[in-house]
Amino acid sequence: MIKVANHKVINRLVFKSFKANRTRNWIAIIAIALTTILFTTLFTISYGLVNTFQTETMRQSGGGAHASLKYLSEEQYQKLKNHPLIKDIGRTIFVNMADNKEFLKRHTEIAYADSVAMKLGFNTPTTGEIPIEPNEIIADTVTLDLLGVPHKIEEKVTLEYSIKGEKRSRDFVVTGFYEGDPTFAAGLVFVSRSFIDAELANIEPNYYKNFDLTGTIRADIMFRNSLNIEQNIQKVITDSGYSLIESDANYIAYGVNWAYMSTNFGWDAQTIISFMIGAILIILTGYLIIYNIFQISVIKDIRFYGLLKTIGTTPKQIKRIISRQAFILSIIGIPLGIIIGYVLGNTLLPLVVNISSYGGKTSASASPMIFIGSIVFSLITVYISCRKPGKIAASVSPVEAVRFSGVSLRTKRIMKKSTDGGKLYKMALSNLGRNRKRTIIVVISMSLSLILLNSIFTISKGLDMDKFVSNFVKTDFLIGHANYFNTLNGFRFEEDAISESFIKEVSAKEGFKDGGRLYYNIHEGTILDNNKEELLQLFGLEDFPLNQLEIVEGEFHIAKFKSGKYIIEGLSDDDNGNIYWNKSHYDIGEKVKITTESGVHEYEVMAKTRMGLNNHVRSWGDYGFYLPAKEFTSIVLNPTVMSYQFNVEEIYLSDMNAFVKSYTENVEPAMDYESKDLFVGEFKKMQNTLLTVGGVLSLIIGLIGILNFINSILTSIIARRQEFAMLQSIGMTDKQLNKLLIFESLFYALATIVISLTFGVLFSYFIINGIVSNLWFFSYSFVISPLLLSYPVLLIVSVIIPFVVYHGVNKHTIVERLRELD
Amino acid sequence: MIILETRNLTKLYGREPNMVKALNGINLTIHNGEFVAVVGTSGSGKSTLLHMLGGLDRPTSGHVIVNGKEIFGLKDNELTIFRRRNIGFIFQSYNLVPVLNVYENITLPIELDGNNIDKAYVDTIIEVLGLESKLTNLPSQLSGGQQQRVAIARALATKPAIILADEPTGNLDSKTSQDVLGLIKVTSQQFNQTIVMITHNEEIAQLADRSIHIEDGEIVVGVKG
Repeated sequence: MIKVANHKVINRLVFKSFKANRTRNWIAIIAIALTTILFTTLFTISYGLVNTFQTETMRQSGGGAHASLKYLSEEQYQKLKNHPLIKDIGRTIFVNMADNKEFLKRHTEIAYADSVAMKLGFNTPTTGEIPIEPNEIIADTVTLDLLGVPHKIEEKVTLEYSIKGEKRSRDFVVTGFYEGDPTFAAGLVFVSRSFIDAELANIEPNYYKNFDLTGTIRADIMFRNSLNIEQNIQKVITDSGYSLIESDANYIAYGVNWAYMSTNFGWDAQTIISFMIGAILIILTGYLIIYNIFQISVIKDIRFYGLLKTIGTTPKQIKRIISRQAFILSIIGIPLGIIIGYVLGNTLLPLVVNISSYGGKTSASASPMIFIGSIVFSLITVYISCRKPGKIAASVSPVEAVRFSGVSLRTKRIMKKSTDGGKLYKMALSNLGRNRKRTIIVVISMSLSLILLNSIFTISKGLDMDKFVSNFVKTDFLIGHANYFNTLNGFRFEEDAISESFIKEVSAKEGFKDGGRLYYNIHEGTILDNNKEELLQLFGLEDFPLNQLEIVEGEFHIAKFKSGKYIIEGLSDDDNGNIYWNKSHYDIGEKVKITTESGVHEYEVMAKTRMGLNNHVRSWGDYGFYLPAKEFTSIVLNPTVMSYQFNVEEIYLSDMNAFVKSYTENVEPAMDYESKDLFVGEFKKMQNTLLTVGGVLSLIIGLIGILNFINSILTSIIARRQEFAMLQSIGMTDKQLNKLLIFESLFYALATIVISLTFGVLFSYFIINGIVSNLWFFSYSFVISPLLLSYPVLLIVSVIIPFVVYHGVNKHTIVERLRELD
Repeated sequence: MIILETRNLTKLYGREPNMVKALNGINLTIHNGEFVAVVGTSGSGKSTLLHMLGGLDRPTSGHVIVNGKEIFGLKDNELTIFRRRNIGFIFQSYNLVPVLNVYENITLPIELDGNNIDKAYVDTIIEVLGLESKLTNLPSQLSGGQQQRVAIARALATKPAIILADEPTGNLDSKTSQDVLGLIKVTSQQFNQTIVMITHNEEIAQLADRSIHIEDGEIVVGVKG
């Protein structure tokens, strides 16, 4: 191919044509920006969700490092730290466990960590500074709480610990702290480097000899990426001359952070599908408007392109003129959209995190992928949107272009049989047929947001609060240890029992009606089924929770049951409340043999009950059985109180809520609770989030629809200026012309109403009712009011827009406009 | 009977020192049933004169009296209605509404007036102009001459007293021009209408009863009328 230096002239044409289309440029920039806002918001929320989940997992796993090397000596550390695979390495030096009696229930470690290790462990103080002097420390707030020290710097604490068996006690000053998690089994206190130098001088750690942690170093390592972490860490060890075999003298133990075990974690199928649906919807929305803008603009300038062709511009060059204009508009529109979209996304993210299954604290992501992704997707949308208009411009025949009247070139229509087309409304209807594609696209574009809006309201209306709340709590309150409610930690140890002080406090409160303990056997128990010993989950219930049991088979007599001869079998259910009958192992009246630490006991199955979050330990097994509390405590050694259910007089509900909330936050932070109120709040939050996020999305898509509509009306009015002048010269009054334009836009509105109503109803009935109804807390109900309420607004807008646009554009006199023709 | 009269009609564009006198004190009298050609080079002001006569544009000073009525005393809306009842326009570029068929284009001014169509009259016009077979066609399917005939029919449809034609044959070849002019003349006689036609073509002007020459916004006297 011959290279011709024609870039300059093409650029000049691009620039000139660009300047001539000021209004289109503005509208296109806004359209591209809105599309980019949608993309960036989508990316920000998706990445934020994944990031939140990752950070949360890392918090659970103890840190963000890819891997760690354990029990190192200073010499080993120095040899390992410079390995080329390592991007970042942080050092933690252990002192010992703190021996203060306050830490009896929660082990607290004393250690030194450099800034990298602190960052990787999420221990960087959020208030105050890292310790420098030997008597300075930082700690997490839970540790400070246990020590009874307020969350303030300069506070004094005393720590007891031992070095090489020698007990020491020392006063420290708190120089900083960070938010601790009360559900964490261990607390942390960080000392300064100078403390280590003074206190651990002359100590040569040798963990494998004496299993003493004091002085050992843990190295937290970040690699360049999270691929092949295990191979990398092994390579670091072997390359440095150490062994991976435990019996070797030069063995080094390592750990890989399970938060990174799956390379793509967080991006599960559901997330990806939701993301894809979102992306496709946005591409469609963006396409509908950007395509329309360019299509209209090309048709408007068709004579210009015809002229260019006449004088020898190639189709390729014409396409380039159009795509380059689109690119310049993108350069302005996309950054604008990214900024707004990023802010919007991060505003909405906490709401989404709140209702997602991930939970926890929101961690916004600033991943470059958000910006690259948004740019790429927006550019793709712009590219596919201006391809077809480019083709139209490139393929126009110069002769046709000159004769172009705005009536679609490909119209096969020669005849028009009517005789009353001069009636304004009929003329308006005919005018919409001039560029049918444009009309259809505008209608789809506006319908889309209305259908979306209606769907969001349908879903949010369909969320069934009673179903939702009753799934979680049957009584007003359920209280217990934080680990009982935290599924990741779980109720596993005696330490996870609810404190008697908490029970005492709530039962003494005014308005307390009735309550009772639920015991759980945390020690191994078995049950005999078909001569096989099976693992048993055994619960002991006091009167109040016993009365709460929902009996699904058999007859329950509480007095008889409390005689100690009977047992109740628990059956689980699915999300929709259907009992898994096939998981029942015994018949009513059948004798069962269970074995606990105290020996074998025999009971008769009196009834079967539904097991749920309210009466279960929340880690599910196949054999769940219920005994009266008295019988339970007599056969189980060290019975542990799992939870406590209670009801409150209606008028004291909010008082009790406030009390329990503040108690679990301030007095016993390791305790937690669930209440009807909490779930009602949770539910409302979920509903509001759906409405907010969905509403914002509908609003933006609606804005795009309206923008499309304005652009369509605007360009059609501009293009028909002469025609209007002619109509006026043969006797059309301003009023009639206005009427004509208002008719035209009312037809748009009517078409939008018909389309959105038809498809909104179909979508609601088939898609939402069909798919979303599978959610267990969803009861489908038909919702149409958002549509019906939007229609008057749509009609008013469609009356106002042509009016405003016409008066904004048609400032010239009839004669001036007539003259433009020649 | 005088149907159209201008008194000291002046139209100025811009301000001193760049003021352009498009029309400079035109005094003109046209009688009922006359076919008058306004001849002038481009920029002479002939189009401006026509626009003034039709009430499309307002003069800087002076009067236009149609059927004894000073039209610029009317409000815009009244003027439009007056125009569609009394004046028919024919443009060089036909200016048909592309989405309406021939019949609808012709009857559009009647529809705009909200009147019932005088079927017999409209049919007569259509017949005279030879458009019977094209009534359901859209303008884009017609030749230039056919389109101009539709435009003439449209101008006649409301039975206006005056027809103003702005270079009606400007886009047509000479044979078609002759036909169209012939039709304009025939219909005006048949329906007793007054015609004011603008042209820069002396030959075409010959067909008129009388020619008025305009140069630099003034009527040039002394040329054959």
